[in-house]
Amino acid sequence: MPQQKCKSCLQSVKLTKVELAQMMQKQTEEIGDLLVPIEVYFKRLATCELCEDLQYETTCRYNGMLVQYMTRLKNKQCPRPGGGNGSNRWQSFL
Amino acid sequence: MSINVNVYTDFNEGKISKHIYGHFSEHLGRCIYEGIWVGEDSEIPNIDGIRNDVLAALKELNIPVLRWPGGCFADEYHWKDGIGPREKRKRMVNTHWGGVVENNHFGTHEFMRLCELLDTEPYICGNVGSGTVQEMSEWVEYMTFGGESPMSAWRQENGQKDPWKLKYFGVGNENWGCGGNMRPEYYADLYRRYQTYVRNYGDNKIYRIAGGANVDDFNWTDVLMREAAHLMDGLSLHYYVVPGEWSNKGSALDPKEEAWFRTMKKSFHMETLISKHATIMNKYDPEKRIGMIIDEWGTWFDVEPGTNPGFLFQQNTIRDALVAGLHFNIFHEHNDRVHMANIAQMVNVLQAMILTEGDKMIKTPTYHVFNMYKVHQDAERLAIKQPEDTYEFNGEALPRVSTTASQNSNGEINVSLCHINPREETTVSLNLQGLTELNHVTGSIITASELNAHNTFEQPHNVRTEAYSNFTQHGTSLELTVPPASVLTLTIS
Repeated sequence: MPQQKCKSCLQSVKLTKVELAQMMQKQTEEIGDLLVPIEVYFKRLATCELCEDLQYETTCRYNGMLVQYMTRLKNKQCPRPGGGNGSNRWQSFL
Repeated sequence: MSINVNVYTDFNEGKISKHIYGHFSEHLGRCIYEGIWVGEDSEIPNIDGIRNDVLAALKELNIPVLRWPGGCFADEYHWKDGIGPREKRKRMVNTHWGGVVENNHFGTHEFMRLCELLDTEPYICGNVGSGTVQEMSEWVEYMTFGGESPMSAWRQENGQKDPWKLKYFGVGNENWGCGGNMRPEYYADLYRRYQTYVRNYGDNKIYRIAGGANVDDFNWTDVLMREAAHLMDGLSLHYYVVPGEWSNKGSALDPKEEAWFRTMKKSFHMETLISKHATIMNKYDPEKRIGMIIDEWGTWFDVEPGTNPGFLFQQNTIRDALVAGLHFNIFHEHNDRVHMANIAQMVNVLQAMILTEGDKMIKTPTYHVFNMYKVHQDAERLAIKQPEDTYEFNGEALPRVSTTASQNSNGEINVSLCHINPREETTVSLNLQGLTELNHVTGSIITASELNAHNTFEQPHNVRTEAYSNFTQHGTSLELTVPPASVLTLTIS
């Protein structure tokens, strides 16, 4: 039988809180010791949540990452482009 | 392990259409927005809103044709929302891709500008699923009519005096699914109706492409050919290499040989699909006038961990490089029927050439294969004979080396090999039959020791093309030492 699935129906950019929590739990377990201290995580996340470039309450427009995940990673930086005053809003938390 | 490959330099098998090296850019994830379009006010250097770094990288690939705006998005796209002053353009919800807000800043004029900057031909996909005949007809008039008419006048008001040249036009997309969930009989009738009003204005002659089958839906091809062959120039086919199932596709960075083998096996399946669909097309079109247009192909993995699942962002490894090379070799083999192919997609989505993060950009292993293979564009394919020689895994076997060869208008011969065995090197005796001497041989290769080797923003050149010279020459034969998991191209003067 030919596969008659519509591929777009399998995807969504909007996540429920439950979906997000499940993803975070699973993926955070896989990250292991690459996490930042919890206070840095909270500061980063608060910055992202106020950012005008946050999409769908979860997603950074510059790299498509879920900020609830990205802000936990040691090796990540705020990906805002430019290098001007607006870029790397996490810098002061490092 | 050794294998003999004979290339018959005096046995021409027809031209390899350059359009096989086409691309696809959809309003999906960060392909158009952020990947290509950043807007004129962006801090990212741009020309007319299109980012310079991505443009320069893509220009190097000699992209012959670019499909837009979808994909599934095409059957929900209303082109009039995307013209005129940007600040007044309608904001809409792209429900096909999970509710994305679309501000329509990248529309017809911006796409045509992108094509102009890339020196590539536009391939527009029209809206059958939720659009009207009038809407489609007026879009073609808007783009291509040079005389006096409401659409032509509107285009001029919006800053484009002369009509654009537009050859390729798709009448709908995946109409068996997101493009309307139609039966082939119903779509065939709609195709006949809609294409009637896709007019040729002046000397602009449109190549009409009918929405084709999903993977192995051979009945779809049969019905479309039976009912509408005389009204089409091309018929599309979509097939993605998904190593697992749709619900669990597999990780792009899976380092295991099992995933590698399954991916290669599913890549070779493209050969079967083309052969079977072509057999049906031959029944109605023995002259092979109608092109098979494989306007969506490539790998489809689970999205990268931590990225929005609706953005379809995946990493790209040496495995993708092999997939790209194998597909090209298969497309070349069917150059009598396959007139165009468009990898999905150009930037940041699925098997992409380019990945971006803010103002950073990296080229993927797939990019490097496209760059390496561009020498075959519009070249004459040469006949090849090589014995079956297999790569085995868990009791299954696949051809170990896939080879293609062509001769360009300068007389240069280019031979490309994909070596899929990831464990052992292979010695290839490449015999160039019909030549009396080899003046100059150069080569390039892409390979990696890890099966999930890839480029990152921190290590952008981890996987890249390098010069290849690990061969010896004996008269008109070359003995090549080919490393595991590699794609290479030799140019012989």
